[in-house]
Amino acid sequence: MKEGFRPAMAWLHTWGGLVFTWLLFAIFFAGTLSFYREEITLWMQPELHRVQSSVDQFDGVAFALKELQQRAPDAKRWSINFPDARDATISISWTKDGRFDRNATAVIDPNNGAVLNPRATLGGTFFRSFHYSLMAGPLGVWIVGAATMMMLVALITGVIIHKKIFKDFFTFRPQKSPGRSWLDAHNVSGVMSLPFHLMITYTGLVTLMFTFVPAAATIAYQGDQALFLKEAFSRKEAPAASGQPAALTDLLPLLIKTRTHWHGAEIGGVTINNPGDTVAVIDITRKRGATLAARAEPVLRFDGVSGQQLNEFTNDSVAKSTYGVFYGLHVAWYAGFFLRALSFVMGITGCVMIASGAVLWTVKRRDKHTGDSSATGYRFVEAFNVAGIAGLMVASAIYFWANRLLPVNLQERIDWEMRCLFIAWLLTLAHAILRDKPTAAWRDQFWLAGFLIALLPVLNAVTGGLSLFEAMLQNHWRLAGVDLSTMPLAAVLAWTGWRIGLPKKTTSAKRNSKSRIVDLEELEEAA
Amino acid sequence: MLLVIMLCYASFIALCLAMPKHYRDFFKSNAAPHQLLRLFRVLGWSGLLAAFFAAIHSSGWQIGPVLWIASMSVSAVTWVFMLPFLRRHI
Repeated sequence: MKEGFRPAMAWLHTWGGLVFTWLLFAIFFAGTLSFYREEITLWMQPELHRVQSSVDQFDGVAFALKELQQRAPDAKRWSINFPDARDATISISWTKDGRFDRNATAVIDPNNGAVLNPRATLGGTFFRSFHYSLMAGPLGVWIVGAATMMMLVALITGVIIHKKIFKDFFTFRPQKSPGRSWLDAHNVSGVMSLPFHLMITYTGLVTLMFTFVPAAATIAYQGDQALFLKEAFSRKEAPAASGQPAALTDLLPLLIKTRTHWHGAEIGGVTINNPGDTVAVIDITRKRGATLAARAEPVLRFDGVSGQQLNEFTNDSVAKSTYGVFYGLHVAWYAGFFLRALSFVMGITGCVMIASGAVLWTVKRRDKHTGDSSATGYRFVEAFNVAGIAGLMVASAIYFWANRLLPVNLQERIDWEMRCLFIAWLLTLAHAILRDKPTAAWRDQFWLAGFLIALLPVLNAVTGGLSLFEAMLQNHWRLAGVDLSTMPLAAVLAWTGWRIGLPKKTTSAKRNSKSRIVDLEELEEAA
Repeated sequence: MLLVIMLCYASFIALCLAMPKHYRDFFKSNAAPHQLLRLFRVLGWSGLLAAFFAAIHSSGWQIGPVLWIASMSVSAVTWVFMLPFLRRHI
């Protein structure tokens, strides 16, 4: 620890940041991809590529009810999720022994009632789950929590130690020394999107607050966290079934009435409690994302036999709305096409900030540590940088490849897709350690990632997906968008690999030794 | 929405050129006329203000401010990373 406020903050920023940097990069990267979770999942289920959007949201409701009646006539609850702009299919689920179950679901084409059999995959949901739990259960959530806290610390200390935050607001000088240009890149990507970085980091903590600060709920509910969550967020309990059979009322008029009631808002889904009973109750939920606040969608309840409206549940308590807005800002369900794209770009900017910070650590020490005892530590950081940044790109690309190349009926298919990703990631680490020169390791992995990603549209077309060309002809832009985004991404990765592989600084030869000293001094001063 | 981001982008260009350092650099001139810089500054800030109201107009008071801030971030970061390449090629 150094004397003085700024040097102390710089120390914290540098070393605290370094410890969590690869984890934070992975969290930010996976979180950024999660903005397009539905689109990625669609890409990864080619069986659903040819489902046409229905004209009206409720077109398939009769098929859904018929299917539920056939599959689960005795279930306590049925649930129907309607198609929307990001998912053309209608999905149904039902309870088994009183609980909804991952296996008690079906996906239906709303246009003709055909039951679809998409392959088993987590799709884009993998990236979302990974970014808050690392697929390691509650322990993973706590690790992510610690990393997030460090991110918040790094953001705040970063602002404190950035002396020329306004003077250097527009400053980016890639032509200068590596230390200077990486610092510029780090500063610009950090400062420009600072509102986003602070917001997403803080709200990230808030979304998991019932794990991190459980005391209030624990005391009020005598440790029964599940009951608390149920009371706070689940819809109201339905009355118990009477056991007397009665015909279910026609659902469609209720749906249309609800849509009018909410001034034309889209409907998210319907839950039917005690179907076929005299005390059947129908709950219709508004589609999420109509407002900034999440987890606060209003519900309209109807009598399932007479079709009478019973009551409307709105979630308007101040505490819940506050939480809902924080949560909503993080998950961005409110975001339409344009705002989602902006969020994605800011997420990428965050990845650039973290990655450039990690690279900066090594660049600043590159000349100092050759041959002495800390060279091992330096090599370790350098190898982890390569695997943590470029290696993650390779591993993520492998995940998409595994999704298409693993046999459709493979046992534990979901797990195998993820295993492929993690094995590939470990291999990139081994490669980064064993490769003699770090720049060569960077270049190899960036090029491999670029190559794998560039070929994804081809892989999509030859393994049963709707090809990019067809998708564009059919105006299926949600799908075409995934294929199209691979091209700039691959180009950037290839360019980065090429740039890193260039022989060490043609510019440094041009500059005289005096300006180099000035640069290093500037660097020390800034850090 | 497109208007919001275009306004933000133009405003940040103006605010950037309002700084003597970037003005000299961009126009490759040693002069930095005081009044012109001031004009750039006024244009930049009023552009951002106009973008705020355009965002509210297009997306309402809930999502509008989010759109405004996101547009500012993305346009500023795009401009800064483009600047060195522009300077080299024009």
